[in-house]
Amino acid sequence: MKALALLATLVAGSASAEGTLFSRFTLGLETQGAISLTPARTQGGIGGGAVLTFSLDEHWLLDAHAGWLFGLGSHSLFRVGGGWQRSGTWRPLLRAGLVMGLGGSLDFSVRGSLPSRAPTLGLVLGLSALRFQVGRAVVSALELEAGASTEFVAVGPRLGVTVISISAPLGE
Amino acid sequence: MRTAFLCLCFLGCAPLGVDSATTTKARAIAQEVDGQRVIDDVRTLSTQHLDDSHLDCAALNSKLDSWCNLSNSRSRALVMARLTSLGLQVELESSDTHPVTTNVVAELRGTSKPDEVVMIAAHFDAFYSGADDNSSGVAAMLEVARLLANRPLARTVRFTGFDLEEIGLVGSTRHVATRAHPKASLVFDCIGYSDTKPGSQSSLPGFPTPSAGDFLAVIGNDVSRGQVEQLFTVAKDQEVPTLLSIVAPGRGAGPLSGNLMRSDHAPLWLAGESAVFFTDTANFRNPNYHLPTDKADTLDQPFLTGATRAAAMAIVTWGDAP
Repeated sequence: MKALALLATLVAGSASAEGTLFSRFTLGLETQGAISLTPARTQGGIGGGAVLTFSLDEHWLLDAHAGWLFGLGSHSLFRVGGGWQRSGTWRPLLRAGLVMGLGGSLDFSVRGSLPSRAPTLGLVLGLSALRFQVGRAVVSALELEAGASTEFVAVGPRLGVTVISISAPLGE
Repeated sequence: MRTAFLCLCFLGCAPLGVDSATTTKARAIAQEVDGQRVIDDVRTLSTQHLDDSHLDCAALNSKLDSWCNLSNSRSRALVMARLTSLGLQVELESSDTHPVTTNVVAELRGTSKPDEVVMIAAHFDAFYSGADDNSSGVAAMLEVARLLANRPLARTVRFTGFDLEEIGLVGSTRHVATRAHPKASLVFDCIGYSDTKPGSQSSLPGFPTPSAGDFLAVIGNDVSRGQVEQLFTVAKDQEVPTLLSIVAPGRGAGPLSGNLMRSDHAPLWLAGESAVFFTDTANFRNPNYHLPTDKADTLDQPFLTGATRAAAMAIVTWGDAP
């Protein structure tokens, strides 16, 4: 954790020294809903989480998300990925990621057997059209996400929406 | 701490095995199900419901027509008489609290693990003639009782007729509140209606059921997941309807899985206990649900026979498996 903080400080300082308008690391909080619908498993709910973003440059970024959703039982949701964002005040973001859901789900037998309790994995594309730079923070509303999901028995669609997300730079 | 957690998770997640002797025994007993006897019992129960006195719907404070055609007296008497005739000690479990309920309970004592109880249950109250809902379930329970009466299992088997399911799971809620909880439970509600036509099965978003209503839904919670898997193992390639299992997360009481809790297994789930529910999905398939047209001649006898076989396999497996 200390190393991460030091890295964040160094990178942020470096970015600042170069006179750029962005910080390398930002941390955000978001509220969201998501659902994965395969013939063998329905997993979803509403909840929230945190997202850590690392900016490669003004446009390209990597992100890691961890959340907790409640509805069909409760489950943890993790996502890692990357994307492209526009510079300026209006900063729409297009991203892609790998998603893993771990925990409660509604399971259905397929060909006479239930799926194992392995995590649900998915590939998603996301669009954050209503995303704005407000001072040093980035505020985004109604981010949409769609893709495919599997629990290693069947494949189905995966949908998600982030109702609101607010992130701010870490470090200087 | 982490090691202990991983061990607990592993134990909880591992499917419970079924030895070959139990599998063979369960399948053999299931083959003895007498389908004609089961459908005859449905006809008798349905006729008795029509001839029975109805509950006072004004006292139940309902304006629904169906509530003025709810009966339970003669069906309760039949369940009691049949279980008694099998040599079982029958107990009436009454509550004078409004609405008054009287469940019928009989236990077949286990040979080597008598303190562990496996319950098989169906509600005997019904609207109108109530062939599918729930004379089909009562008849299946009586058939399993007939098959097991003279050959007790390792665990005690409790046969339970629940009263007043239709007005809010009243009898089962009181039973769960007052009795020791079973190690495993199988609850029936509507297990005799089948339709092979595409489009005959309706569902809800998030429930990927087949289009044709010719499967038996086997509904469990995470606590009973191992028992559902045991049943699938034993029933594989047997003469039973296609089994579609739905396992709800946790104890099964989440807000989005409420439609899975519409019968007498729900009080057990709410208590965090294991319970498996057999159903033809009732109003999601049967157009006669809670109507005067719910008659015995609308049922599918082979389907009901197969559902009863699956029930016999489940009870023998859960009652005898190590």
